[in-house]
Amino acid sequence: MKTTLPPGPSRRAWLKSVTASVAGFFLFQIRLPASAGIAPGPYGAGISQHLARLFRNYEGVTAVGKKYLACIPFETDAEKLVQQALPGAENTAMGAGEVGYDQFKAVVHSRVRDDFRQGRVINLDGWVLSETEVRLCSLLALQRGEVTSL
Amino acid sequence: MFIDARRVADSQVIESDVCIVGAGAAGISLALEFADTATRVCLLEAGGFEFDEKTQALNKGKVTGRQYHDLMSARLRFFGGTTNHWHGWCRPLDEIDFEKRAYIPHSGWPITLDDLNPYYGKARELCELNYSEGMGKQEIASADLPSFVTDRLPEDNRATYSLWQVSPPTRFGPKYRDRIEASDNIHAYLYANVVEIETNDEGTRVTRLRVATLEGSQLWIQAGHFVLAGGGIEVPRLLLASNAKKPAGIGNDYDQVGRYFMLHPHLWVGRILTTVPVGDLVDQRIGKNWKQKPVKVGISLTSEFQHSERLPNHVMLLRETPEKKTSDGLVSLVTAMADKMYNKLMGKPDVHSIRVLLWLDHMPNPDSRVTLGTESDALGMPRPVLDWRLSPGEKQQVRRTVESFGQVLGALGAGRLQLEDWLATEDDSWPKTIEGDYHHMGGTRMSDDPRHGVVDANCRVHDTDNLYVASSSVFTTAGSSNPTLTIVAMALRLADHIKRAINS
Repeated sequence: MKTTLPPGPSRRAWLKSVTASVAGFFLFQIRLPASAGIAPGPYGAGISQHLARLFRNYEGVTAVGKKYLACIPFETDAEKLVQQALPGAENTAMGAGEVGYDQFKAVVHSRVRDDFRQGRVINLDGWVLSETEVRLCSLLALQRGEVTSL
Repeated sequence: MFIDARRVADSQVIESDVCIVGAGAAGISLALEFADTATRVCLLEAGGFEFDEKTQALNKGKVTGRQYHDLMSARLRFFGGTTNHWHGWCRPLDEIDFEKRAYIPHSGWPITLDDLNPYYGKARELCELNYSEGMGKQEIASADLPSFVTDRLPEDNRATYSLWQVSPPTRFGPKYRDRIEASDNIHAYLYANVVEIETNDEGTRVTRLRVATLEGSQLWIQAGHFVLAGGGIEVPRLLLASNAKKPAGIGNDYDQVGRYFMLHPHLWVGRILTTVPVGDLVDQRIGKNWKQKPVKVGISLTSEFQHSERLPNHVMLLRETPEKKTSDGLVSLVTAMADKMYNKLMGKPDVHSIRVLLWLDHMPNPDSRVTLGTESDALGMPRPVLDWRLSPGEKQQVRRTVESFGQVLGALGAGRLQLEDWLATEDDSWPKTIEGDYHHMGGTRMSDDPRHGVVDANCRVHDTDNLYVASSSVFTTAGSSNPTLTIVAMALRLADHIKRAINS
């Protein structure tokens, strides 16, 4: 069945209620394993937890992030990384951790694909990667304490 | 009919209306256009009906530029020519191949695809392809082809796919031998090696050809029209060696003969990590089209995108490869970002490793050339020297092409691409060994201006009245299609031109 969203303010209200309930559901359902060692990020637990869920292999992904930060050390700053990877997130439900995982993932996917469409890519060890995805990997590396903030 | 030149009385003069030098795809196609007409055709073939080592050794030459195959094996010197070891891949040139592109120095043919289109249909028949006039890509394609490539990839308007029809392959010698034999007006001489083109004193008209056999006899061919239908090395070699009246050789007033030699470099350019099922992505088998004829598929960036990003024409082929050790991070990244169509929600995601092979339309380069060496063959002809070169800056174009393909994959949520190590560097270095092919192109390129080419738009050698070339040596740019189908189409077009010249 296809769901259509009502337009205007009621649409936003509907979205807010849905995302809050979805977020609540996932926060209840998903618990990070202690071994993940991920500290809450600067914008609440939401992004950290979602990132941890998105990238199932933390060690591997943080290695990608570390590689990026080694090349671009001035981005070794969680706030900067979030601002560049998910611009405006700090002022939204996403930054406050009130967005469910599915919506978070949809936003990330959309942004990553847009990077590829617009040529916002970087070359890391020959890999053609989206700027957003690499910054998210770097954020995970920072939050795991694998890299020290500048 | 066939005649063994070794049995012809020494120093005999043979007269004909049209003399064709070389009985490969071009020479046979051209000769057949005159079958059972009033035009007397003399078709000269250096070898016999079978491979023989002594004749083949006449192809021996030196390679001084980039590493390449032994020239002995690159062309076959017997009836049917190189179609005797042809793989049969057929695809017309693309429209963009004919265009002058500012970012591809020396590009731009004096003809367009529209000039060749009327001949591709018949060329397909000669190559035994399944084809009907007006048949489009969709009709040629089939459900057997990898669905990601034919359906999903073109959703990104930067990418498209290319199709090859695959010939049985047609061995032009055995296939058309009977038709040549049965044509009273076609006299095909075997073991007849042309060693010199003779002209009038001004060098403006070919008067006759000197033909030699390995047994020591020679004969002369006089004709109204002469067509050189050899390969991309033999045609320049013969023009350069025919220097009795003009020291630089025939058609070489502007030092163009032998220059702009091109191949299709086959480059392993990258590797894809993908969650797309291998069968949807990789063309490891040959599909079948609507009448169960074989078809193959490749990937390319669209002409529009090539123009906007200043990229060379190309085709990419995807090949499954044993898993190279890949960081778990990349596997995780690919899985996380995969389109939901290509990601399992439960269980371990399937991530495949695919290698990318690129066929490049490499830049025409005047320093990439065929010249004459100091050694001679058994008939006294100087042996050729091949100095095949790529161009400065070309590697960066290849790199941007492959990166762009990586971006298309990312935008579709289909995976991530890693450039091969040699391509990831900023310098102009190429892999030490490049898998080349036997597609010899250029050497007598087509141009309206004799200062920039050897033949005109009708394949006539610029400074002569009655000498033509039917060969991939006339290609101004290489394109990314296998050349045989176009060689045949151009030979058919030339036949029409010569018929008009004879009738006028």
